[in-house]
Amino acid sequence: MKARLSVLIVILLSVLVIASTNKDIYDISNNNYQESLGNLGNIPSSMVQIASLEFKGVSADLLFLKTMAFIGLKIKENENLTSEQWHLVYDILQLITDLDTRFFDPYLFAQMMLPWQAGMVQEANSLLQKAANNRPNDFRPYYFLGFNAFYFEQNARKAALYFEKASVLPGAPFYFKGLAARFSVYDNNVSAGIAFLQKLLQQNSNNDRQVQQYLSTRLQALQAIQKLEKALADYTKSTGHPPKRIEDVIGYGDLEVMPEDPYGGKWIILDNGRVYTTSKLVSKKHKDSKQ
Amino acid sequence: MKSILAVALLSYKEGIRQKLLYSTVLFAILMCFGAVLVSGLFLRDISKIILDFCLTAVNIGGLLVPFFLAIHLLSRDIERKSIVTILAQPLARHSYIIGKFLGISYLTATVMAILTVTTFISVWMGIALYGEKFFTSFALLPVLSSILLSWLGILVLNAMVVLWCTVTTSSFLATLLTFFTYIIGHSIDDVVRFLSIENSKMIIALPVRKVIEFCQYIFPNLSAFDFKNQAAHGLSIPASEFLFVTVYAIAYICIILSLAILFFRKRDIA
Repeated sequence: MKARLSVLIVILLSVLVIASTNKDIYDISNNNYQESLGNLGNIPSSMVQIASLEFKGVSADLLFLKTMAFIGLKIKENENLTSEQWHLVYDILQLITDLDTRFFDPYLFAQMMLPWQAGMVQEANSLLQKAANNRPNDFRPYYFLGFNAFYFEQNARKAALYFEKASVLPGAPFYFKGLAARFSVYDNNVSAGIAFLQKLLQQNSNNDRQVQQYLSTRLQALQAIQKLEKALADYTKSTGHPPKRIEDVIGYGDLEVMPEDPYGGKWIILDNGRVYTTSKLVSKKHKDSKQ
Repeated sequence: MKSILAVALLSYKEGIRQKLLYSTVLFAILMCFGAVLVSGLFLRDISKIILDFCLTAVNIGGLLVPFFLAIHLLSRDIERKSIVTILAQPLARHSYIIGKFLGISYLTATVMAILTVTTFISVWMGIALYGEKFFTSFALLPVLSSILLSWLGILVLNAMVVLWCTVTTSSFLATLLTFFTYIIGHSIDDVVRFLSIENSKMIIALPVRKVIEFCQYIFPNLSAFDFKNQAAHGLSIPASEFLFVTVYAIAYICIILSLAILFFRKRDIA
C-alpha cells in the first residue's frame, strides 16, 4: 500500500513538473530552431541525400514542415526575416527539392514567399525553373515564371514565352493561350503572337468551338494590329511625319478599309507610336459582366 | 521440397507467435491516423505526403522482420542448440536454410500486406477529409509495384541475415552486420554518384575510392528497389525497370543463399 502511494506521488509530481515546464521547453527549442535550420542549410545536398537512405521523400516532407514552421513562427511573432534568413530558407528549399525534385509544395511556397516578402525574384525563378524541368507536364511552374517576368521584371517578351510554354501543357486554362499572345502585343512583338496563335489553332483543330472562337478572335485582332502598324509605318515613310489620327493611314500599306476590332473597341495610336485598341483585347461582354 | 516447406511454415508460425502481428496492427493504426493528420499541414501535395509516410511505414514494417525477428529466429536455433534436434530429422542442411529464408520472407510479406491495406485506408480517409482534387495524382499500380519492389529489396536483406547468421556465432554480431549491409546497400548508389562528380575542391584518398569500388561490387544496391518517390507522385514504374530489378534480386538471393548453404554445411553445430 505504502509502495503504491509512493509510486502515485512520484507520477503526480512528474506530471506537475512536465506541465509547468512545458512552455519553457518549447521556448528553449524555439531559440535553437533557427540554429538547427541554419546547420541544415550548410550541409551539402549530396550528403543529405546519402544520409536519408531510402527515406528521401519523407525526409523532404519533414524538412519542408520544419521550414514552414520556422517562417510561421516569425510571422506569429510579427518579426521580419533578415536577408540572411531568407537566403537560408532558399538554401533549404533547394535542399528539399534535391531530395524530392517533383515535390510541388516547396516550389509553390518559394513563389508565395521569396519574390513578395524578400524581393528574391531570381531565386524564386531558379526554383521554378527546377520545377519546370522536373515536372514536365505541369503548367504551373511556367505560369509562375511568366507572372514573375511580367509583374516583377516587367519583361513582357519573357512572360509571353513562359505563357506560351504553359499554355500547351495538360490542364492549362485555355485563356493562357490568349495571354501569351497579349503579352506579345505588350512587347510590340505582334508577329510572334500571330505565329503562336496560328500554331495553336492548327494543333487544336479538334478542340471545342468556344476555345476555337476565343483563339480566332484574338488572332483576328492581332492581324488587324499588324496590318495597321504596317500602314502606319508606310504613312510615316511617305509623308515624313507620323499620322495624327488612325484613320489617316487608310490607303497606305495593304490597308484599304479600316479593320474592325473583334472585341468592339476603337483603334488608337499610342504615345510610343504603336497601334492598340480601347478594348484592350477584352470583349465588351466580358468587361460588362465583370463590372 | 516438402521438408523445405515444413521448415518455412514452422518458422512462419514461430514468427507469428512473437506477437509481431499485434504490434504491426498497432503500428498500422498509428501510421494511418498520423499520415492523414500530418498531410493536412501541407499546401497541395496531400496525396504525396500521405503516400510518403505510408510507404515509409510499409517499408519500416517490413524491415522489422530482418532486423529483429529473423535474426532472433535463426540465431536462437543455433545458440540454444535446438538446431541439433531439427537436423536430427531427415532434413538436409540446405533445406533448413532455404526453409528458414522462405519462412521469414512469408512473414515479411504478411507484415507488408497488412500495412499496404492500411495505406489504402489512409488514402481513402485523406480523400474523405480533404476532397478528391488533392488525389488526382494517386495511382494504384505504381503504389503496388513500389511495395512489391520494396519487398524484393527486403528479401535480399533477409538472405543477408541468413548468411550472417550462418557465418557468425552471436546474434548481436549478425544484427550489426545486417545493419551495416543495409546502410551500405542504401548509400552506395549515392556515394558512387557523388564520387563520379569531379570536384577540384575535394580530394578523395585513393584507398577510400578503392574501398567504395569494392563495396559497390560486393554489397547489394538496395536503393535500386526504392521506387517510393515515383509511386507517391503517381508515376508508373517502367516494366523493363521492374523486370530488371526483379531479376537482380533473384540473382543476388541465389548467390547469398548458396554462400550461406556452403558456410552452414561446414559449420560445426554440435
